[in-house]
Amino acid sequence: MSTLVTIDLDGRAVEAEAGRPLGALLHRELNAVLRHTAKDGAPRGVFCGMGVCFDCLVRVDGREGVRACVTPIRAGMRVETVRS
Amino acid sequence: MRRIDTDLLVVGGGPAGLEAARAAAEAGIAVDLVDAGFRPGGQYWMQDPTGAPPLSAQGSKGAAAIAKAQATGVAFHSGAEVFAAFPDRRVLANAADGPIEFTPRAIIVATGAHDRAMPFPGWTLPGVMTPGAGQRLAKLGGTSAGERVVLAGSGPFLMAVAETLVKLGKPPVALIEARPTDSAIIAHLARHPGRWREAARLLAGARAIPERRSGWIVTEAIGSERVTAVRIAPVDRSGRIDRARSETIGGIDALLVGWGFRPMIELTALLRCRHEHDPALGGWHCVTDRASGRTSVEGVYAAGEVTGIAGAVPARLSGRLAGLSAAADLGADTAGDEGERASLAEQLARARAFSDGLGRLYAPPADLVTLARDDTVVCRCEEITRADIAAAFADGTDAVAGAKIWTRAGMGRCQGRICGAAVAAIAAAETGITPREAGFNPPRIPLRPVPLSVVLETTRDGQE
Amino acid sequence: MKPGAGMKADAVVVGAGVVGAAVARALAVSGRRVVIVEQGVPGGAVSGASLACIGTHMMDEDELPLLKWCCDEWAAFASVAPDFEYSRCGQLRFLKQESERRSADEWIGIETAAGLSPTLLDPDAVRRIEPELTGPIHAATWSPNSAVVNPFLAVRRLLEAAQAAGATLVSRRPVTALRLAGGRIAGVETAEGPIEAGIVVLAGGPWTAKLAATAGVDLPIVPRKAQCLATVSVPPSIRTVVGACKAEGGVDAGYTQIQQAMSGQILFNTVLEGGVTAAGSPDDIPEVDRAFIRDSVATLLFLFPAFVQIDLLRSWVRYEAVTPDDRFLTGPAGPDGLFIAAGDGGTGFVRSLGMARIIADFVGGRESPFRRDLYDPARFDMKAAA
Repeated sequence: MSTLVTIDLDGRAVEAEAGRPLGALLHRELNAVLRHTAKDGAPRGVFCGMGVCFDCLVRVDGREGVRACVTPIRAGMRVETVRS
Repeated sequence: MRRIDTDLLVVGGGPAGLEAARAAAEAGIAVDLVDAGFRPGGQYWMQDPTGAPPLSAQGSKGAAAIAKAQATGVAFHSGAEVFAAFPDRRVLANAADGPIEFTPRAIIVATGAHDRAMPFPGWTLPGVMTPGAGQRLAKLGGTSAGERVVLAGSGPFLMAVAETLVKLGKPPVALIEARPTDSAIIAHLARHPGRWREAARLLAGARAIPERRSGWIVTEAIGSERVTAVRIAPVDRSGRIDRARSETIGGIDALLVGWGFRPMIELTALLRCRHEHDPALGGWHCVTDRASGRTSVEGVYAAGEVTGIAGAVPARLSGRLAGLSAAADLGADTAGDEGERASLAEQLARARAFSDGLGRLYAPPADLVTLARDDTVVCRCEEITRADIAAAFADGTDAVAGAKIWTRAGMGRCQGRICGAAVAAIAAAETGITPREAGFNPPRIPLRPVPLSVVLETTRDGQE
Repeated sequence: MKPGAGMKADAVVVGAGVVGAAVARALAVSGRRVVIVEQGVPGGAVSGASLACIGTHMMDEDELPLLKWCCDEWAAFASVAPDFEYSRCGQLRFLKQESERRSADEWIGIETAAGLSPTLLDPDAVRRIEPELTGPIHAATWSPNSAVVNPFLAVRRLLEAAQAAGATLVSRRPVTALRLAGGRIAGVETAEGPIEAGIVVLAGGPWTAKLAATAGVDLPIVPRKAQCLATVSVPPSIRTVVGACKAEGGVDAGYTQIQQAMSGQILFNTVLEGGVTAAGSPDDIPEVDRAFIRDSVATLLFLFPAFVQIDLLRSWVRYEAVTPDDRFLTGPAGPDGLFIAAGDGGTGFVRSLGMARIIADFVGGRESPFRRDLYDPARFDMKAAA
């Protein structure tokens, strides 16, 4: 039932199963580090995994502040991480 | 924007919401169910997002419950987050394909709960997560939190997570539980024989874990870009932590740590329902009449974890009760239901007695708030440390509200959902007030950040 | 014993918003033993909801000397106190159409005569100051001296200064009544016992009238709903305080204020004509209403169309204290020893330091460097008698 699709992760093509949470893919692909914070530049990753904590924020198709954990993987989506 | 006029809006697609929706729909009521998840089922009855068949008993139960609700005509709206509700019961939700405005005659709130996290040094490191996050990575993402996972904290849910990790072929390398003695649990279980099978199954899962410490607590996560080690120390029954006997577990890449659950009261609070504080029920929860699910606000019902943490069995029972009583209040012919409702209320009281007892047994240690050091970030969103918060209290403010405005703790994207309980505990420790007096961050519109374009679209034609 | 119970002081200040904090500081600095009693958390009510603009532009002609004095005092306080995000960012007041020119020109004339330097800018000149303001405005006035502060931190710093001068702050302690003895003020009653003092200053915003009534003093203060919205933090995008040109009819004719806090959050509100008079109880705060959300977001996006994908984070509602002429009631009232400093009219932040000065001058038997008859709590009685 699952479909493999390709997404763009920081300019790199990554294969993933459509419909699964982007957060899980990024946790695996990015060695758990999804972003660095604005104030302290501290690394952050998936924490609550259910859209409550807003720690797993990435840019998706140009949109800022998207929670990877509640975003389903779609073919062709462009994902950018925020690094300090 | 889609506009949906309906009799009953159920918010939340877990066991409580599904049962509530089905019960009302069976009584002839038009029911819409809005759920933030990828697919209905909630956290207990989590469904695979790609549509793969369920692998667990809970997943199968959930699939059956969803099928039944669908068969009765419940209209499902998955992947839609409620972000506003108004006194006229108008509810706004945002979904991938655009916003929806619901204008229901009654609302059942079954929003569930999320893991209770408490700050400790290193808790913001990638790889440190809630047990629930570990569960979702596995069940929704097919991914383990790590190759070498430490599972820690308190509560029977840790056993469920252990079971999932074992199935995934990545059993935790250690289970660190600040849990009560076996004899206390056995004594409690002895009074509830209906729960023996479930308990035995969960405990069997834990046998695959090589290292199991009961009466220990994680005091620090260590690492630079990702957690690589964890410090643990014994914790006694009064909650005191014996740091002199600390040990380190190295070579890990994930730490799942949680202290039970916190009811998601944002929508019931926005709707002005009455709330109370009870540590054994997860802290602040929505007060309901247990026999009907009615809240203090007419036309608003609540069921499941939002009414106090109790687990899946009470969630299902309270959901069905709320569905039946909402249907009756909406004018459905429920003349034959009195007997069922009385029996459900009785079962619910029994199930709650079991879970309330468990909640008290697994209450987090009293000293938990002392784990955070001065330089430990407490508010993850705004990066506010314990010292920042303590300084505000020293300057003469108190309560969660006072800390928020003087430090920004709770002012970020999560609006204090994650740090609220910790800030209340720090307020209690620093100023001597009770966690209840410390209060909670009152939720406001929008309940979740939502693009201005969507806000405009959903209010543009709005009549007052 | 809990702090504050059974206390004695020279003066009790009721309310730890910006006005109460400023009054407490002024009295404590002049050597009086002060207790500040707050029913909630300091700065958590009206002050916390303020957008805290410190300026003179399009305010009140008669109050200009006081406003100028206040702006200087805020600048002076910012130079000595720990940071409270004081920023002299300037203020733009946009005109949507030619017909608003008369009002703008009038204000520019009044303020220029008072020694201030506002100007009128065309849209290109506006964009040089505020590059993201690309909406189709007609023009804007520019007041370069206006500043903003973080309202929470400003209250905190004033209270820190008051405490450093010996004042005591008691939070979450509602005052239930005024105490009288021999016809003069003897202190306040609280839920946890009395606090004795010969001077009581009521700085309780919309709660002031109810407390004054317990001493038989009738004050013309009504609560008025004030609402605001905030986005999530975004990179620096707005440099100034952006408002609508003040129309005839004052606040009731509507207003707009938009600014970016140091945190990165964009704070904004718009009320169109006739939308601001909703009264209610300050004890029962409702949610923002849909029309307010719509008008505020629509105005923000009219001016700053590029912000359309920014997330809205939060909204809030408070009740501000309004008097018949939109000026404070500040000075002695009723029994000896009772003073009032309330009636912010939604623009109380800047004026708080001036109101504190007036109270301290009355208590100390000094003259004030500006007219204080404008704020006499009994001025409406006198008008009625005349």
